[in-house]
Amino acid sequence: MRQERFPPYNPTNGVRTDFEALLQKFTDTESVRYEEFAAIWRDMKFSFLFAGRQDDREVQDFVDECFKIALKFCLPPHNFQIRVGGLYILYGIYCTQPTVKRRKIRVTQDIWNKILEFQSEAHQQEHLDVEFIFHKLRYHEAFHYCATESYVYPNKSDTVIDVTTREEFREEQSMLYELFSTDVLEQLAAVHQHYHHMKVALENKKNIAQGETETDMPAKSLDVIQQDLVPGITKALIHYQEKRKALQRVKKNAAETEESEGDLEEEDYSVFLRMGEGTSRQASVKNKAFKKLAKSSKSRRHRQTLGDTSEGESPQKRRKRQKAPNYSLPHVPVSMTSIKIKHVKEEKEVDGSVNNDENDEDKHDEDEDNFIMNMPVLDDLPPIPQASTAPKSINKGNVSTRKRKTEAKEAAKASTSSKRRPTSKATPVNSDLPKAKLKVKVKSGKTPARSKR
Amino acid sequence: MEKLGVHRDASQLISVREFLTSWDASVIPGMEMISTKSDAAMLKALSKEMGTPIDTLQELSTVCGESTLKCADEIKQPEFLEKVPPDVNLMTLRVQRDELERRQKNPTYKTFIKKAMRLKKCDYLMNFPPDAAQVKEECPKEFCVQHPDVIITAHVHQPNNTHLSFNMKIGLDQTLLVLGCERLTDLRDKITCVNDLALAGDLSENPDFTPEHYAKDIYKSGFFYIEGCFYNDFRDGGSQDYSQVIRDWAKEPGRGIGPMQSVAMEDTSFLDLNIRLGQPYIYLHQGDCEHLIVFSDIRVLSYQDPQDIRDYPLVTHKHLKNQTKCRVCQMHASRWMAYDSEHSPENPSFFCEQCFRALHYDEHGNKIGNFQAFRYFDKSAVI
Repeated sequence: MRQERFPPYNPTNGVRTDFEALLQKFTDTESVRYEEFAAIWRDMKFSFLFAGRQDDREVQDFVDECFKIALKFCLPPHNFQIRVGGLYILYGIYCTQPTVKRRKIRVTQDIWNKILEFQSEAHQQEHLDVEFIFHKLRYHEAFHYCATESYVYPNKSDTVIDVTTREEFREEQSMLYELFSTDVLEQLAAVHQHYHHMKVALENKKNIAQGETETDMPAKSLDVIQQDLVPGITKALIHYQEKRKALQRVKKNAAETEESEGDLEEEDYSVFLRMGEGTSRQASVKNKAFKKLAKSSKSRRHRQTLGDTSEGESPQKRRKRQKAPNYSLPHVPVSMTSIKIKHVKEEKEVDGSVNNDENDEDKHDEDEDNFIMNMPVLDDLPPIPQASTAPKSINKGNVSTRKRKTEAKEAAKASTSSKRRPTSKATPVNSDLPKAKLKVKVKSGKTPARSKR
Repeated sequence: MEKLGVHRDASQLISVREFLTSWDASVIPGMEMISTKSDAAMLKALSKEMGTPIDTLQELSTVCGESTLKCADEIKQPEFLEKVPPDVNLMTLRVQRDELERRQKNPTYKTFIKKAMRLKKCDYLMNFPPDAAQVKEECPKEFCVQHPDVIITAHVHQPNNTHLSFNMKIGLDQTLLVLGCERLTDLRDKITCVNDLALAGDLSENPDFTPEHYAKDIYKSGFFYIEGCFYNDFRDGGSQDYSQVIRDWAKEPGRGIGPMQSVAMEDTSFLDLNIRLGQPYIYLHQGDCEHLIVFSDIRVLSYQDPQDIRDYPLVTHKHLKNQTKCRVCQMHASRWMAYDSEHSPENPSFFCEQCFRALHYDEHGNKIGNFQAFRYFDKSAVI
């Protein structure tokens, strides 16, 4: 359907930022006086907020959404000053809305009670202007007292984007951190230490009874749990957080490229439309159908299908198409790889000119901008990488890469598979192998690791 | 009721009467409204409310007046809306400028946006007709709405005749605002469905015969199905209970569908109902014409809504459908639907009055050809 090509319509892009900027300035004045607020309002020219809306109904839509956003600032858990600022913003928008008939602010029972509490607080502190503005709004019947915050309609959740999803995102993360909050981890560490001491004490008691020296290790038979429990948990959490951030970044990039791709498709389609209906539609459908390439299995990874290289397309476009992710793995945090590459690079630069002739090749590869992971050149690496799952993903990364030097990789992999432990802490270490010949192109565009022939 | 399906977007059960009574005195009766909306009146009301003397309030009103929000250089209204002023440093405006450019470049996007907007242009024209006089007459006392009350937004959808074609589209037909004090029968009377105007019978033999009764007058029964209860229209003596069949079916053991009730529609007002917002309900009439009904909003009636009770239920949106044109002249709306007519490639075909007469009857009024003809009213014939 055509509508899926465009992102859902959100008339209030950027409004929240503007409100936050305004409130920031208001809190900087450290006062709750309306005059200060009005001065900032005039200074930021906020009455122009509605400019550019084509007709009245668009303004009405926009104003309704603005009210929703501004109302959130009037509620707890914001502090008193922000709530006053929120009320002033509501007043400002209500008075300056350029509609024929003024739109009202929708409040539910819950919200209304909270606002009344807030007003009684202001009354106690004798903030006359806060009260005055609130009662003035009431007098002008600026509020609609409703059962729900906005209208309810079946299948509405398919089209509406909630500005607050980002917060939900954060909440999701924080639940994990709630589970493993600092207190919990500290307590866990304390309990762990206590346990360790008890085991040691037990062992020592036995040793003293037998006349041996004291040790600080518990008996082997009591060694049943993971030794570094708490550090392991923290590392896993950090890794998860970084992974998630990287994923979000990639998603954002992908969304942008997809959008631009969508535009491309849109323009193409309209070209065909002018040419003729029947055949072009088939052609465009076919185009779409074959855009997503089938990913071949691991055994065939050296012969994976390439991106659609239609003739006459500039390399620019080709690159964009190929960006459509062909892989489904978690992306290794860029920082991780950059560390490794730095190490390797420093090492290689000493060797210098030998690799100069390879430079051109690599630069060419850079253009392709593929996410080929490094088979880290091993001696030079720090012994154990930080996160336990990073090496795994590096290895996985190798699976879907462009194949130029496959033998080295396969050989390396084969020899190290036996050595790999379940929590693969170490990267494959085999010094008698020829050093890995694969190159890394990280999206950050750093010069890739050089390999020795 | 056990096992009543709830739509994923629907709210929880709201008792309309409870909703109304749960608002406290700050809302109902609200502030004392003095009929003259002058500033002095406002100050008087506010001083009573806030308990502060009027001079302080006078000062306050100048400090907090609306003029404080105006910037130094104000642009006039129509220009204001069209273009984004370049010198203002707000992110919203930057985004809006890009948006406007995008709309200009891509007409598909523009139509997409127009469809996505909540308010439709036709509604806007209906509610704010440009030629309406600004003068609002005071409505006579007996026709004024009683405060406090609620106002409910009801969406009526197009009839979904499942035996003709399986069509899962929810096509919005009308949006009405109803008051809480009104009965369900008021809503029923206001819903206009083209099937109500259907005239039965093959009229090819005597096209001049105008049946006296529309289908609306012959088949008078109907019901609303809301939250497991059938509200039947028993006003007329001859009305049937359409829900009887369904209730008997539901009562069968082993179905797991709880016993459903049947209540008279004319005895129930909206305040008595317990409804879910966003949950589709059903209005059935003419035996098989089903409309989905969705209540999307309940709010307290305010003094700025129309105060004349004769206006309610108030229609705020009507779906505009193109007329079915006569297949011959392509000018007039069709009034006749003919089966097996030899003059048209499609079956059934549509003719306007003149073309129908001219093609199917000779100068003496005798029928030419073997066909069946029915009176036809399309959607746009319904006022």
